[in-house]
Amino acid sequence: MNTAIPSWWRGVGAALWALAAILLGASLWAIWNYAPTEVQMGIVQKIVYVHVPSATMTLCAFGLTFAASIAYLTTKQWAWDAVAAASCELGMVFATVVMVTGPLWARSAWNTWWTWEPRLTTFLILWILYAGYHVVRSSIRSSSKRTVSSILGIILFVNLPVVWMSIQWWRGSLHPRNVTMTGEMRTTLLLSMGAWMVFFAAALLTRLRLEWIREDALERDLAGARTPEAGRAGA
Amino acid sequence: MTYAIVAYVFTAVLWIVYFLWLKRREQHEREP
Repeated sequence: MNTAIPSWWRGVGAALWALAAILLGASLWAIWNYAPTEVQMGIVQKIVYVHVPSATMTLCAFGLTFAASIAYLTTKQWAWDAVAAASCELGMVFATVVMVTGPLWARSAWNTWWTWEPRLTTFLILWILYAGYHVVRSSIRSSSKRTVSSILGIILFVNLPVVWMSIQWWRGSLHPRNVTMTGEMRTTLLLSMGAWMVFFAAALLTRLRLEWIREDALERDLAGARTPEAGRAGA
Repeated sequence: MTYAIVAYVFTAVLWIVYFLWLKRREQHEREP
C-alpha cells in the first residue's frame, strides 16, 4: 500500500486556501460594509453571517463522516476512515462556533443566553455525542479502532435529521421555521456560506495530512517489525 | 455591537488555535 502524500496534494491545498482567504475576506467586507444593518436588532444581527454557515458546515461535515464511514466498512480502505475522522473533527470546531455564537445571538434576540428549546437542545446533544466519537476513537488502540469509529459515525448520523427537523416536530421553538432574507442580506449570507464551504474543503485537505503521516508511520513500523533483524531482536 | 464582535473574534481565535494544535500534532507524529 502506498501511503506517501501525493505531489499534487500541496498544490490543490494551497489553491483552496488562497480561494478561501479571498472569499472569507470578501464576505467579511460584505458583512460590515455591504449588508444593511437590521432595523430592530442592529449590528448584533450580523452574527447570523457566521452562525448559519457554521451550522450548515457542521451538518455537512458530520454528513461526510457518515458517508465515509459507510465507504470504509464497504471497502476497508484506510483513506475512508481518515476522511471520516478528519471531517468529524472539523465538524466539532464548526459546532463549537455554533454553540458560542448562538447564545450571543439569543441574549439580544430572546433576552436569555440559553433556553431548552428544540433546536438548541438537539444541537447540544449532537455536540456531546460527536465529542464522544473522538473520545471513543482516541481510546481504542487495537486494530478494531477504524471499524468501531465507522459504526459510530453511522449511528450518530441519526442526530442530523433530528436537529434539522426539530423546529417542525416539537412546539416551543424560538428558531424561525422559514427565514426570508432578500437583497444584500441574502447575497452576503450566500457569499459567507460559499466562503466557509471552500474553507472546509481546504481545512479537510490539511487535516487529512495528519492521518497520512500517521498511516505512513504505522506502515513503516509494521515493515520494520516484519524484517528478520527485528524478529531476532525481539526473540 | 459588542456581541457581534465577540462572535467574530471568537470564531477567528478558535480556528487559529485549532490549526496551531494540528501543526503541533503533525510535528509530534514526525518525530522519530
